[in-house]
Amino acid sequence: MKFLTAVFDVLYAWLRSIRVAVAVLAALAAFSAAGTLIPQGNPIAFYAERYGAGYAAWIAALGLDDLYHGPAFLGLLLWLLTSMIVCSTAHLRQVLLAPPPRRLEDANPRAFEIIREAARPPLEETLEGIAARAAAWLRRRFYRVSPAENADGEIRFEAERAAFARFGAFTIHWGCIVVLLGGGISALLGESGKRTAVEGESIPVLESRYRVRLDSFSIDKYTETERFKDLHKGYRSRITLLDGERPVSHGEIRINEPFVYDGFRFYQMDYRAAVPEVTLRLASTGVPPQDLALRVGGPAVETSGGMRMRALEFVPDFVFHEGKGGTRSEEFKNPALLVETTGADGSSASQWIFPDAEGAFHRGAGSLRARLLPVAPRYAIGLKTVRDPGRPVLYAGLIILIAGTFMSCALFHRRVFLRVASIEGGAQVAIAGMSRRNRIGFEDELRRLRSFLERGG
Amino acid sequence: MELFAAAFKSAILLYFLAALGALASAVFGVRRLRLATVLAVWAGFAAHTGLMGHQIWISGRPPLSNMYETDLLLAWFVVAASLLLERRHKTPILAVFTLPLAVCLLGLASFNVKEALPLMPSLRSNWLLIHVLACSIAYAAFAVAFACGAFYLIFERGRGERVPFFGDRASLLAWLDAVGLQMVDFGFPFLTIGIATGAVWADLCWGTYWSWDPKETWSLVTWLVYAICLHMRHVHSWRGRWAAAACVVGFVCVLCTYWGVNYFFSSLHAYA
Repeated sequence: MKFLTAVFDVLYAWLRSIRVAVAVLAALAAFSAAGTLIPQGNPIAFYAERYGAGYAAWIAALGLDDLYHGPAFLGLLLWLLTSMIVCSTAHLRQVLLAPPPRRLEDANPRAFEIIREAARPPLEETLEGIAARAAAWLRRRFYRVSPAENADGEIRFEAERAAFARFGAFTIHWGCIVVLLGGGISALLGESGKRTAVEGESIPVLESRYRVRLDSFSIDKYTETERFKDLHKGYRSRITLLDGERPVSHGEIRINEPFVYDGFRFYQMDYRAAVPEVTLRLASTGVPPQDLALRVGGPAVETSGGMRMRALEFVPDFVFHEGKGGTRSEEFKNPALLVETTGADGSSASQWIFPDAEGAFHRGAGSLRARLLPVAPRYAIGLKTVRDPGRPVLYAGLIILIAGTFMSCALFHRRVFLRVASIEGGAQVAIAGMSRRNRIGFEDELRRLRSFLERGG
Repeated sequence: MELFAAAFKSAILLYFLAALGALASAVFGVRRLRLATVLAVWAGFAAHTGLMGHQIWISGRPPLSNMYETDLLLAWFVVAASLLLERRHKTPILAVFTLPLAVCLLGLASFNVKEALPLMPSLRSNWLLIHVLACSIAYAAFAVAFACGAFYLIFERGRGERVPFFGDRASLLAWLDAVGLQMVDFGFPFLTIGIATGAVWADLCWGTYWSWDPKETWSLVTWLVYAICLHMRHVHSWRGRWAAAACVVGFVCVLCTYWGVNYFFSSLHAYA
């Protein structure tokens, strides 16, 4: 039992230790940086090709191929989370139960910025008048001025500003804790998946009872009245959410504007031309024209002339580049079809054909001309679906974190102590300031207070 | 167009001359040189501001969407911070480091596309403004903190109680330490906003708020380094050499985040 208590005490001391926390932060930073130097999440063959088999084996053994999900990184995160909970709870107790020293003499000069100024107000002013003027000046700057003490011929009072900023560090830590919790909930309970949705067709929504149908996809372009005419401005997908066969919601997805329904968020990740079937108009001497329907990538179909045709590839915006055909974009600007023809004698060849020009095919004894009939534009999008119960928690954490950094770094807690006393030939105001941050700004402020007091009412 | 090319070159030249002037003014303590330096910075800053205005005018949007524009913006913030500090503390010392940085930024900008291209669809978001502005403000503050840290490390190594032309060595070091801390304190909340808004935006755009993209990861590394710096400063009263070194290391991380990622890694942030 004693042993367990001792272990717990050591563990607790380490969890409370800022130095250990800083070491953990440094280790997290080092791990994070290392993860960018070694590409993450690739198969072992990738590392073998890139670094050699020996190094690849080490990378796999040490888990360097998936650092951010490895036990070391997650362990560090867990330690940091626990440490922040322990530290911030202890810090809160300290802030609530042991507020900053009420007397300047009690303050640790290494922990606090301590600034001293002395002002000589005009001779004609009374001590009360000077104190009242100083208090009014401080109140105008949002200081909370405590009642003055009048004793031994001198007036003492203190003022405090942004006292709540003492909770800044506590707020930052809890912001981080909530962010990590949100991330943990996302990782454990969230789900996401990406599937291809073709216009007019529906696909299942993750493992739910819903299906989603892509009704249409369109590309928004800059118009003639705008600059950059014809360049892409955005993309929109109109979708219908189906519960079984019953439509339950319609919506639109744009870039940066996902469609949200019942906890699911739908994103369009990419798009491409999706033409599953094309029609060729075939002509041959002495034979009436024939329309031949072909599935892109499907089986070969026999023509009336004894030739077999197969649609290998459809491109929406044909371009001939580096000796081969391809597509310039996914817009239907210059459609083309790569067709493989096989003659009765078994000879075969492939050739691109277009809507506006007939292609001639000669295989063995047979010959024919073919033209691609106009193709109705049809698109498919990469539809990503996400259900993430951790999102609201994470967003709340981010808000708390930002508020904490501003409380802590921008609205620093500061205290001013004033002693107005009579000295030979007039009065003197001893000004002292105490804060943990922004020594330069605080010095400026107290210097302005001194100048104000010396100028007189 | 030629006018703006001339303004671009003028800004670089004036900043470069001002950096030399600041160095000479710091080393030789010539008061008139200091005045000339400040005038040169202001003239360069006016040309620089004109360039930014021109970019906004021709693109019809804030200049935040490619390396040319963000280089211009970051350099502008760095020079603005230098001018504010010069005005407040009446010393050109920090400009010795910050102005060459602005010159480098503008020099790098000159290698990038100057044409005002339309925004990529994914960048057409209100989050762009707040995300990039917050990050740029943070980076500019950290650049000044880096200047303080670097000077601290240089002056700390000298001998004697006085630094030629700067007076008491201890006071100068305390001042550099305090300004460096002030700049880190100033930049840290903005870096936090930059990362947080980036996460929210990524969630809206890509359906994930964190994907361990190199840009995201290095911004986290930068945040962690400054978090360590602030912990040690405020909890353990960590001052002097190590705090200055932390400011320098932190800025190396900023450089990795801002430039390194774009040139050495494939990133979702390839446009930035």
